[in-house]
Formats: sequence, C-alpha cells, structure tokens
Amino acid sequence: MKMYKKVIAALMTGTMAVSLAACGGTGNTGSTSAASASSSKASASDKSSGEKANLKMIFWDSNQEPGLVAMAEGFMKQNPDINVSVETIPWDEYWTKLQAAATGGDMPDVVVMHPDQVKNYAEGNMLMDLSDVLAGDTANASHFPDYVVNDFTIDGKQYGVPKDLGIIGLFYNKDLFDKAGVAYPTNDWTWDDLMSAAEKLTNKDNDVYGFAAPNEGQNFYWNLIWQNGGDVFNKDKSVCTFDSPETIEAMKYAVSFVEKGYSPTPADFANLTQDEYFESGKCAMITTGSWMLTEYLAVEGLNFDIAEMPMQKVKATECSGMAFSVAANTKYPEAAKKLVEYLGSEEAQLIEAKSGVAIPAYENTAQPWVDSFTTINAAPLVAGAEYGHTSPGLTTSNEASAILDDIMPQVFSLEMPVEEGCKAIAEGVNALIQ
Amino acid sequence: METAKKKVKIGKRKRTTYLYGYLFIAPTVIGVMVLNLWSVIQSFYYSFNEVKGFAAPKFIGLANYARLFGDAEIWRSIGNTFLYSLITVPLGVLLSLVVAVLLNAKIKGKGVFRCIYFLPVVSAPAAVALVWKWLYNKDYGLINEMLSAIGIGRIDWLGKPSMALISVAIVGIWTMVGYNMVILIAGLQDIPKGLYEAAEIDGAGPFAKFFKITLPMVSPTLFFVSVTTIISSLQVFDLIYMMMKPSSPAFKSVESIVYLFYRYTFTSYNKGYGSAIVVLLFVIILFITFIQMKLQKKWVHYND
Repeated sequence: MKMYKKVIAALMTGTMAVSLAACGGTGNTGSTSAASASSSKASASDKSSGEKANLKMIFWDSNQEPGLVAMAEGFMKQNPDINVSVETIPWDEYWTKLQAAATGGDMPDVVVMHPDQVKNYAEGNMLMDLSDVLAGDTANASHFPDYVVNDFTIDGKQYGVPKDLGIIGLFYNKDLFDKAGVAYPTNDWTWDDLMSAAEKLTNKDNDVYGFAAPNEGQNFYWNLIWQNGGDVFNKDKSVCTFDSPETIEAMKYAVSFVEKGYSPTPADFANLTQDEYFESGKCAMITTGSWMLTEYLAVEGLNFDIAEMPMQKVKATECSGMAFSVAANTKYPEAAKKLVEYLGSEEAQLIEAKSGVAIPAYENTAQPWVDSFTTINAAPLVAGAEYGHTSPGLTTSNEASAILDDIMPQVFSLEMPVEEGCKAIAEGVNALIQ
Repeated sequence: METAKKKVKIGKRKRTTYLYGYLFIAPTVIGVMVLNLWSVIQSFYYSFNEVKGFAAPKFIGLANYARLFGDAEIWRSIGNTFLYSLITVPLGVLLSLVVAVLLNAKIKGKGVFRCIYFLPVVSAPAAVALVWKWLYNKDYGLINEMLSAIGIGRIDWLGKPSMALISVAIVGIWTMVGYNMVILIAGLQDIPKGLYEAAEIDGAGPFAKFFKITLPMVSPTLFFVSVTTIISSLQVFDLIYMMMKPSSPAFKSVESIVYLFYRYTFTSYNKGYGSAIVVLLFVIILFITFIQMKLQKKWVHYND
C-alpha cells in the first residue's frame, strides 16, 4: 500500500513537471489551450486523376473564408489536377501553430503572411523565393503597391504575393451622432474636430463614450504618431524614435481621451473590448481596420458609416498589406507557385473584392470592393492607401513588443506620464536593437 | 498491488509474466519517452543555447540563466505564480475534502451533486474561462448584479490590478474541486467501516470520528492531491491566457511564469530563453515536491 502510493505520487509528479517542459522543446505539442480552431474545408473537385497535387492553404480570419474558398475554387476550375483546401486558424493561435508546424517540417503549402512576421520565416529558410512569380505577367509586382511588395522582400528576395490591404479609418455610429445633434465626421477632420466631437458625444448618464482610445498601436496610436509627423523608427530602422517631440505629442493626444473621460479606460477595456463597445452602441467613434467591416455589418441595429482618419500635420493611416507565401519544403512547389500566381491575378483579386471581405492589393480592383457594400460608404478606407504607412514592425514578432506591453498599459491608465513612458520605450527598444 | 509482490516460482513463467507486463505498459512508456522525455532533454539543451526564430541553436553557455536572474519580470511572475498557489491550493484542497466528505455521506441525490461538482473538470478550459469572463464583467456581469442587489458595490474583477489575480484564482479553485473530490472520495471509500463502528461503540461524536479516523486514514490520498494540486497551480496558464489581455493594466499582476515562457517561446521567437524559464520552473517544482516528500512523514499515515 505504502510503496504503491509513493510510487504513483512520484510518477505523477515527474510527468506533470515534465510534460510542461515538453512543449518548450519541439514545439510540436503546442500547448495553447485556447478555443479550438474552427476549421472548415473547401472540398475538392472530385475529378480523380492519377497524380493529384493536394495543397493546403491557411488563413486567420473566418470572415474572409468564403472569399478565399471562392478564389481557391476559381483556381481549381482552371487546374483540375490540383486540389486546394482552405483552413481557418484563429489569429490568437495562428502564429503559434504555424511556428510549431514550420519547426516540425509540416508547414502548410500556402500561408497568408503578415509583414511583421515574414522576416522570421524568411531568415529561417521556411519560405520559397517567389521572385519569378512576381516577375511574371499574371501577378507582376508592378500591379501592387510598392510598400506591400517591399514589406515581403527580405535581402532582395520576394517572399509574398500581395493579397489585400488592411486600412484604418474612422468608424462612427450614426444614431449616436443624430441623438447628440453632432454633424457626421468628414474626410478633412482635424484632431481638434475629433476631440470636440468626442466631448459632445460623451454622455455619462446614458453610458455612452464619444471615442474609443484603446492601448493599441495598429488601430489607434501608430496612426496618430504619423499624423503628427512623427514615426516609431528613423528611416533605416536603426533607431527607435518613440521619444521624439512629435511622437510624445501624439501619444499625449491619444491618452487625453482617457484623461478627459471621453473614452473607456484600459480597465474598462479589460471587461469589454473596444469592438464590443462600438458594436453595442456604447462608443460613438472608433478607429479600426477595413477587416472589421464584415463583423460590424453583421451586428443588428448598428447603424454606422466610415470617414477617413483625421489629420494633424499630415494625412496618415496604417495600411498594411498581407501576402500569400509558399512553404520552402512544400511537396508540390510548382503547383503551389501556380496557385499563388493565380491568387495574385486580377481575376482572383476581383473575386476577393466582390466577396466584400478585404480590399484587394491588385491595382484598380478596389472599386468592386467599395461597390459590394450598399448600406455604407467604404471609399474613405480605400483613399487611405494613398497616404498609408506600413506596420512599424513593433508588434508581436520580437521582444520589443514586451516593452510596449509593459509600459503602455501604465501610460493609458494614467499611472505613468506620457513623456516618461515614451522615453522608457525608446530607451528599451534601442537597447534591444543596438 | 498485491500481485506485484507475489513471488513467481517458475523461471519461464516469470519471464512470460514480465514480458506481458512490459507489453501492457509499452504504449504509455513509449508515449512518455517520445512526447515528454525527448522534449525535456531538448528543453535543457535549448536553455544553454541561443535559439531565435528558426535558426539553429547556438551554444551560449549560461547566458540565458544569467539574464534570468537579472530579469525583474521573471521575479514578478514567480511572485504572481506563488501567490496564485497560496490562494488556490489551501482553499481548493480544503474545499475538495469538505465536499468529498459530504458527498461520501448518506444523503439524497448524491450522484447528482457529484456530477455537478465534477462538471468543471470535463468542460473545456477555454469555455470555462469565457463564461467566467462574462460573469465577472464590471458593468453587465451576473456577479456584480447580485452584489449590487444586496448593497455591495460593483467590483472591477478583471480590470483592477489588486483584484485580477484573486478573480483568476477563484476560477482555478472552482475547476479543481471536482477532480480532487473524486480522488478523495475514492480514498474515503477505502476506509474500513469497522473503524467507525468501533468508534461509535466507544461513544465518539462526528467530529472526533472525522479527526481521529477519517483524516489520518485519508491522508495518503490527501498527500497525493496536495502534491498534484501544487504542481498544477504552479503551471497556471490557460485561465490567464483566456481571461486576460496583455494590454490590460491588471495583466502584469497576473502574468504567471508559464505565461512568460509561452510569450518568449511562441510570440517572441526566443526559444532559448523560454526554455531557461521553463527549466527554472522545473527546478522550483522539483524542490517543492522534494520538501513535501520529506514532510509527509510528519502527517501522512499509511496503514500498513
């Protein structure tokens, strides 16, 4: 009896302590216990031929899945010998899973790549050089905005065929504007206009905030920094300029919404996300990306429209392009290249445009996307492409993001003066990159 | 357990018995070897290397560990993790024991209650965390509705740094009680009925019976439960991952050591440092478990 219990206890102890370490090693046993992936597959055309190439493509946005499936079907119609399946892995676990799969040599053939992530994969020799695809006729690099192509060019090699553009705009709740008797935002709003509208729209008795000012770079404060003529890094990305006067001024403006009570606080956002605030009519304005349209449109009773981002010194917004990349070790390199070439073609990007889920990257295909909406005017988002900035590369893929995660919550909670926070970020990031 | 001690007389038969024995445990042992042991070895190896992105490991000696000891974030997260254990383990184990004793008594609807208490164990952690997140909501959550109905003000469960860890710990306790209860009930049912009958004849009351018979007799099971509960509480991750966001002001007072490991390994692509973190946790767990093994002589009673 005694021995038995002791042995069991010891064994359990051992395995429990050890099984944790397990996921540190290979990464194959990726241990996120997050919500299970919703995966649905676009079934293949069932014409059976001898050697059929099976390609798997993954993406993170389930809203976009129908559009992506339609593109895959368009490809399969022209290439009956190639079968393409589309799988959605939610954003929260997408990069964890992809990293584990790539380490284990089991990367999906075609993946949608993010500009912040591509460097890691390219330098790790996980991606195929697609320079010849982008030099070809169908998906020639000249058809896409330069900055998107450049975002996926590492050491002179091109690793991504541009997919779509994610552009930030100012979304506003028309009903709340009507109720407060405030004129709708226009495309030439300035910071002062935004602030005074936020003030008028804030109605504490009805639990309504004028504006959502969350601790978030891409959807919010990067844009303000650029609008004020500042930047996160200097030109050649060797110095972090978070402590420049322009950047500090922009951050002060961002935080002032919380300070004045026009925006929920970070503690509030810990309970309800900024999207939930906007969707439930508790926030009159929010700055967010074109990819949120499908979700907002699905919310019953949410009567909203979109304006261009307000300006201060210059017009600016984040406009980051996603791209299709091919795994370096795919079993079917030719078929995979053919697929991404098709996905980058005008035909495929028009399918994407008409599905209304993303602004296609191919030149002059944005109009069908704008036309796909009847209740809202999405044109202000497309306009952002002209003065867009790509992602500053300070998000998830390097340890610099940990510095932001440490300091920004304090800044937005008004526990740390903005100037002190910005200087600490610049100092921390510079120590890291130098 | 008795068969294991039995001496087999015939050599050939002994060999066959052994062979079958190994055959039966083979699937588990091979699984542990491949999935756990190999990864453990690799984690140790990685912790002495720089493993960034998909690059090959580069030996850097103890540099990761040197960084570990100077990293204030590590110490803060160890503090958070210990605090979480200090809240969940004593309360959780005590509650499990109370529930087990009550549900081992002769009461009506025992099966139904056992089911209810066990439900959190079979629910997906992600679903559990999401439902609790709704319950905890500051403005619309059920808990705050109830609190304000009885005159207690609303509490910002998830947004307030001093509250967030307690909120997560409450869910932790809620999910652990069911599992521990089942093990403890099994332990309680091992206690010979004769002991209680004898005690009753001697005139012992329910409390005397609990402290003089139940507690000592169930102590081996209780020991097992405490050891495993402490280990799993030191490895808390999923609840934090699901309930808290890194952008929240309360996040830094909840971030646990495993979360930090996850962040370095999977979002910052720094597997070397992530491995060093997890090795540190391994050493901590080993040390605590070792102490518990030593201390068990003082309070655990084995009846043979």
